[in-house]
Amino acid sequence: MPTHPAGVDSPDSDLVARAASGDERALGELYDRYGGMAFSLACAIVGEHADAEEVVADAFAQIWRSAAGFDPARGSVAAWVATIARTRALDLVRSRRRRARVLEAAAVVTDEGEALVLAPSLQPADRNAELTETSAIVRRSLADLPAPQRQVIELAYFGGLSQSEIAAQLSEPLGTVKTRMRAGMEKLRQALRPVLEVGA
Amino acid sequence: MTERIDHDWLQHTAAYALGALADEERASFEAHLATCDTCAAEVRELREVAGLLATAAPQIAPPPALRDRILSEARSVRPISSATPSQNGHTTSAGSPPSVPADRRGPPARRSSVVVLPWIAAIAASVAAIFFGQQYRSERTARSAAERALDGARLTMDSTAAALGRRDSLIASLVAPDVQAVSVTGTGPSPSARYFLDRRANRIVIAASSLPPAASGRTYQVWGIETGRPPVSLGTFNTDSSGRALASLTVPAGLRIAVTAVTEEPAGGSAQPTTTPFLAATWKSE
Repeated sequence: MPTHPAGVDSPDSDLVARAASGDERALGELYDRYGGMAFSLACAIVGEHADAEEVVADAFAQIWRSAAGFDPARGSVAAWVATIARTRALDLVRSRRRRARVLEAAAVVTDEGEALVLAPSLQPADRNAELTETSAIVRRSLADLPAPQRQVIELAYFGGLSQSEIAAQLSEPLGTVKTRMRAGMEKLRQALRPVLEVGA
Repeated sequence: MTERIDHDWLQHTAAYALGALADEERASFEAHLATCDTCAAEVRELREVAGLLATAAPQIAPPPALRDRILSEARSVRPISSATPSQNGHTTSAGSPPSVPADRRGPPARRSSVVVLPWIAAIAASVAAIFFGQQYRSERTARSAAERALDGARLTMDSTAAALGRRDSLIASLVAPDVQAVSVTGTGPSPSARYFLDRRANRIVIAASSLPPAASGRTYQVWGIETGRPPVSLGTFNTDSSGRALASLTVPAGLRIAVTAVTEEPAGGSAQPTTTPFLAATWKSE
């Protein structure tokens, strides 16, 4: 990791403010904190590592350009970075018409009660997954959800589908999808409260 | 606002935080959001919950070079708020790679659909659903293209387009007018591939990536399947240490491929698949 003279413990929002003023080192520190998360998320959405790199490079270019627009009142830096990376990844998926991936996600969830991103097939053993504590809690919370609730949340978040698209995909009434999504997110919020409070 | 119990808008907060509201719903909800502290607080918290979902993805370290690339690209573009007259010389550098026209990275003619499923039998059942789903997709694609055009003034360079264009240029030379192309990916951060099928020339090209090399004594084998018939071997290939391979294989004359897939097999290949197929793609019949 590169040198970091003064900013090791800078709050995230300070880094964003410094980036907005043109401080490249601040961008580097933001990358050190959230680049891995963004890359992992992009991999989960786009599949190919080469594509995920483009997504992350694009996302951080956007972060750099639009840092001045970050509003701490609207949420954390982590959530902001995740939103940008996710949006970029979904754009890429859409532009390349990889939609069938999502169909597959539905099939996998339905048939095995197992989640798309949590059960990647053929993942090489040497891809050493260093799970942070947060990641472990989030995974456990997701795994604890009733499968139908988890499914609609994952199709929305990782697949980028709207509620009506999910309903069509699963051949379920729209109202059912809405109810599951709301109930699932509410349970996640309860389960993740400790993590959310630490991060706040 | 004190209408807490009957506040119908709260039904939308979770879907909004997940980006799953339909466009019309989102527009009206956002209009409401601007005036409602209750919903705004709810959305703020649910967005954090949604943000945490990002960490549920399998954690994969980005390649070290990515950091340098991001920083060097940042050096050529000033943040929006900080472009001062004294720094204007910095903005768009003459040395940046040429951007690729959008139509250059479009899919080859007659791109068909894209599938990966645990086993080929499941594919047929989902083909109808895929074509159905693509109607949604094309609408959304058109809409997001329009949105992006509005946003275009702020985009200094589309590095994704440039990189995709570079990578596609090799492949493009293989693509004749009648060639069908299919992209497939596995679940999660797993292998992906593009197939290019030229039925007239009896040739199929597979470009695989993120696929770890088969262990020693093993190989990858590509299969072509005609509806209702056993798989026919199209040949074997292996990836390099970067997980990539580009293989050009001959399709036996007369084989009307409906599905292609890859299996891992003993070196030299097998007469029939002995492991679970992946990177399966369906093909439109001619």
